[in-house]
Amino acid sequence: MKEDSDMDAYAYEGRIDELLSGFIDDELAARQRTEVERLIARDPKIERRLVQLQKCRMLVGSLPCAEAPPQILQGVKASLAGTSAAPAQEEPARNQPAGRIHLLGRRMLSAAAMIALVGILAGVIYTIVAPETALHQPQVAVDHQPPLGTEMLKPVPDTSAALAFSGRLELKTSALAEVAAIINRVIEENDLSDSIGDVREANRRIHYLRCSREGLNSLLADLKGLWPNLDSATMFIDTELYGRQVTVDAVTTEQIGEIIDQDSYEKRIELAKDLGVLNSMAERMPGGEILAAIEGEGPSLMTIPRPMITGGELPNAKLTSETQAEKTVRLTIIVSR
Amino acid sequence: MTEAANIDAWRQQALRDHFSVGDAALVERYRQGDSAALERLVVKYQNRIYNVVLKICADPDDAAELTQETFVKIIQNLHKFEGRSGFYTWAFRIAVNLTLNYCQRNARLTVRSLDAEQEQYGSQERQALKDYLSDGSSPDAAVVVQRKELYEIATKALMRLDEAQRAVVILRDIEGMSYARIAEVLDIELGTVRSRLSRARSRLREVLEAISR
Repeated sequence: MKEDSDMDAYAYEGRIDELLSGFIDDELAARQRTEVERLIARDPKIERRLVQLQKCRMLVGSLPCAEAPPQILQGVKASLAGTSAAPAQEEPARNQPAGRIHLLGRRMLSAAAMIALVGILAGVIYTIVAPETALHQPQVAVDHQPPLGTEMLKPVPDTSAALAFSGRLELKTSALAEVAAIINRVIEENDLSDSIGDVREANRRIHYLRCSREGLNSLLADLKGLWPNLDSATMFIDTELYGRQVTVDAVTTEQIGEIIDQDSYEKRIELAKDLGVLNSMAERMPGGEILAAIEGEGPSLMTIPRPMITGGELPNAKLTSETQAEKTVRLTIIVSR
Repeated sequence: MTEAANIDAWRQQALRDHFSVGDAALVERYRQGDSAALERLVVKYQNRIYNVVLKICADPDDAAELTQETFVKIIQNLHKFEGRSGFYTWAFRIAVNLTLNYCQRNARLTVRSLDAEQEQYGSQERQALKDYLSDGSSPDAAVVVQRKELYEIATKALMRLDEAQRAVVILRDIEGMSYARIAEVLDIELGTVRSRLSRARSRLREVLEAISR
């Protein structure tokens, strides 16, 4: 009999605790709430029990909130890049933009290897084909465009079909004169001379470029062979949305084109941020990009850059399209030691 | 419209888009190929998920790893997400399940007695806890926040609960979920939430009282 009454008492206490717990959480029906209020008013022991439960709840609830370590997002991206975890959908992942981002990560790694290999070849070809003339190319006509003010750095609102781009590309090299000469030559070849102004200083050259997306893509394609001669290439993308620039270190010509070709500001910024992470990962993984290249991801291994034209007439096939296309790209290229 | 006005209108629209998009819209945008939408979901929930996971497993490194694993799993399974529950509920279900499984796999066998637990704390900390519990007045959040010595005791006391009890207390008292939402996250009946939470709090009260003696 005593055992039964102990169990009853235990069950009763359990029931009271459950009601009190629901009471402090405001999770009781109106009838139960009234019942609890009546019990509290009549029994000081129950009232004390309620206060203690409230104190326990408050103590747990006031524990400081921990902030996630900043590398969570990068870790997630790295995990997904490693497992190629594009969402399983009916269409092949490579046709999905989301899948493309994941594939892009792997491509970037292999692209770095491509550029390194191709650059060595390009360097050899360049020294054979154009050792002298490149150093004595006439400078591109200077139109004394003043340094860009802040209004130049602001993205132009999307009032036209082509999305405006504003940014800065900083190239560092120990062969400043040679690299500057190549850039000048490529600008002339692409008939962008009218679109730029440049500044020559002792330790740096600044090219202010205003052209169409097509013009820039063409320029970038021709500058690709230059990359192995650079110590670093960093892209700064102007943004109003985030109130600051997004930086992409170790940027490649393909990445610059991809960033500029995005069809919304938001996508452009997000892609730039993704590429920034991927590039820094690639830099921390010596040999990883080579492995990816061998595994056959990314573009064709033996893509030789277009040989430099060292003399004679410059091609002007792009003239018509460039002059007619909308000049929505504003890019400042700074080459320094 | 002037150029400045254009820029201003564009900026305002961009900011509106950035902050006002709900979870369902972000999920849909990701499904349509917008990877930036997914990043926003991760950024939006990473602190809350990490905080809950950390409070359950009590190890910052494990919590970071489990949080990351949670998001990877979310992304890998997003195509299966049918939207019957909200993204928030679904995300927390994945996080808590992963964490509880992890805790069960790595259950520490060194269960200390309450006496040993009590000896961990100095007399000053025990007195602070005793004062807090024995004070007959209604609890005041401002008082709790000032008595930071109580935090460590509360964290350790939480670890005296079994994982299932700990999870329900954390989801309710730290994450502030309703009973119905907890039932969805843990995939249990509403009545089970009530009874488990009540037992967990009673146990917590016993542990705290034992430490304060």
